[in-house]
Amino acid sequence: MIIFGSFVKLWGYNNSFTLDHYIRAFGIKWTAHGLRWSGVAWDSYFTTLQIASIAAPLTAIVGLATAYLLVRQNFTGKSWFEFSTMLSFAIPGTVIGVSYIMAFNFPPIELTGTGVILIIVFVFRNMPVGVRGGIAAMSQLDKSLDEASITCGANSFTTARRVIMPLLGPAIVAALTYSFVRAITSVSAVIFLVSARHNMATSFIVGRVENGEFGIAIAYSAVLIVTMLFAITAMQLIVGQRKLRRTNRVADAT
Amino acid sequence: MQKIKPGSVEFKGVVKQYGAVTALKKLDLHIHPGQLVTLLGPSGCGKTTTLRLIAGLEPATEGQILIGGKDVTHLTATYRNVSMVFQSYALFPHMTVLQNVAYGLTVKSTPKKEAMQKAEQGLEMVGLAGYGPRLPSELSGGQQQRVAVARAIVLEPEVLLLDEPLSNLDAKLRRHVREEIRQIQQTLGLTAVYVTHDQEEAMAVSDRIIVMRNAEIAQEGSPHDLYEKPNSAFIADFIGDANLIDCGIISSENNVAQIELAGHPLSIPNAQAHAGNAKLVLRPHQIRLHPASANTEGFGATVTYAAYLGNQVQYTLDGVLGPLFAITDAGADPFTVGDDITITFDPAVARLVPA
Repeated sequence: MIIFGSFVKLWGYNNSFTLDHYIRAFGIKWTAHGLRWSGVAWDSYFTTLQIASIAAPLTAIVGLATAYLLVRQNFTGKSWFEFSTMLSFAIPGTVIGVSYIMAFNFPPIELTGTGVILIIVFVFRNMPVGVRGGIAAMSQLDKSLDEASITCGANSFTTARRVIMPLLGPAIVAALTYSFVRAITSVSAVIFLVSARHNMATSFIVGRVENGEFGIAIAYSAVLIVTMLFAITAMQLIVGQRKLRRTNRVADAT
Repeated sequence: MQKIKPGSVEFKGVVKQYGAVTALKKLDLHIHPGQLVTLLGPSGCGKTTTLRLIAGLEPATEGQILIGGKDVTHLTATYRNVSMVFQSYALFPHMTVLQNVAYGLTVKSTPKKEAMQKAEQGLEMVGLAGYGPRLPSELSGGQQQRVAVARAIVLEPEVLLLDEPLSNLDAKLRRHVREEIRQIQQTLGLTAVYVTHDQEEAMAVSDRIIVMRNAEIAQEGSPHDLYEKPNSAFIADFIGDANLIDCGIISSENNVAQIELAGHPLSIPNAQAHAGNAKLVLRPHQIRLHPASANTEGFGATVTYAAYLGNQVQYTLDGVLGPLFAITDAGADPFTVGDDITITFDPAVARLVPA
């Protein structure tokens, strides 16, 4: 439906085919200065991709590292820590957005209006999924695998890198995909944090809708859907391929 | 593979506590280089804890641990020159057999070629040459455990630790793999510490057995010593089958004890005992059975259960000595349930332990 809506003049009233919305939103022109991204949506589109692709791996790393701490290490206040990792899920996004503005509006940490604040908000908001997925996957791994690695003379870092990480492949994909998608699609927390320089796709779309430019909003949504499909497939390929390469290396060695 | 310089293991007053639970009470032990020593005991006796303390997987609460004469109390597993074979094999499922075996070498940044070569040698040692490119999941349980052994020995550890390595294998394979482990240990002259709850396994592989109970050592010695000279009813019962019969020691002089057994006076040689209540240890095969009609002097009993096993007959008896378990060679004419019989035994083979 969205794809269909993006190709018609005015959805519901004038269903004649048009590429107008796409041209207005994602037009590219050759000018004297070279390629010019003339469409109105490009700016926020690139910002969104950039921020999402920085936030996604960070979320996965922070989430899985937290999961590792929770599953494999013992420390005081562990259950409290586990509970607190879930908290950001329970708080409404708008509240988080406002509180981030309040918290980071003044020195020493003045982040309001920067891209960094967006990344931070995504990392901490989406972390629980990485943590939960990591906990589930890591609980499946027998602790004796870690111990076998350690008694072989590996330290915990090597163990995590060479034994745990490769076995967590699916959990890593899940965390990456989820946080990437969430970073692109989230509206609530973001809406207060965007600025003219760092506008996100979702808030841009909301803005279009408020202005009555439904066509552009719909076309943009369609582009986002396709983008996410590409990204998810690519991530699965990259993480899956690393495993393949491992086995190939062995075949070469033997 | 060349011989490895084996290390000794020494515990000096080692205590291990998990919160309020004491897993080890002031443990002193000394394991000599090149020996295979078994830690044997029922579950929860502290044997696995002891092994994990040697490995460095758990920190000691108190005391000192020395490996090869060096104080390693505060070193973690990574920095101790020991390697371990786990009950669950703990092979890395995403690596091939060869990568698994070479793992320890590669993390110690051995040149790749040398690591692979040593790993191949290790696989050969455990009889799995040519299995290198396979994945662990493609091997049987016995083969997987042998890969785990190979992974441990290629590191040429001062001490090889084995945590119930055979309990996931079926009975037949168990005997085969334990013989192999023993053979490898002797060829390489390794110091090995072996944890098991199976006394037969312990008897079969060990130079020395340390029997543990309730977080401390109950008795240690060669398999022969433990079987022939148990110092407690627990050991007598745990190492091999034993009938434990209540008796009273009247006096003890020159290693000969005068006892009273079911109203009869008896003298037991080779006994170091004190007057008072005691238990007489009688192994099932030490009990002789005679038909009551033969009027042999002994203790009366009735056969309550008889199991014919081809080469032997196992009897459960009840009589003046209480319930007894006896094994005899299958003669031409075994007793049947309900037969009245007379029991005799040679006092020289019987042992006395504190009640």
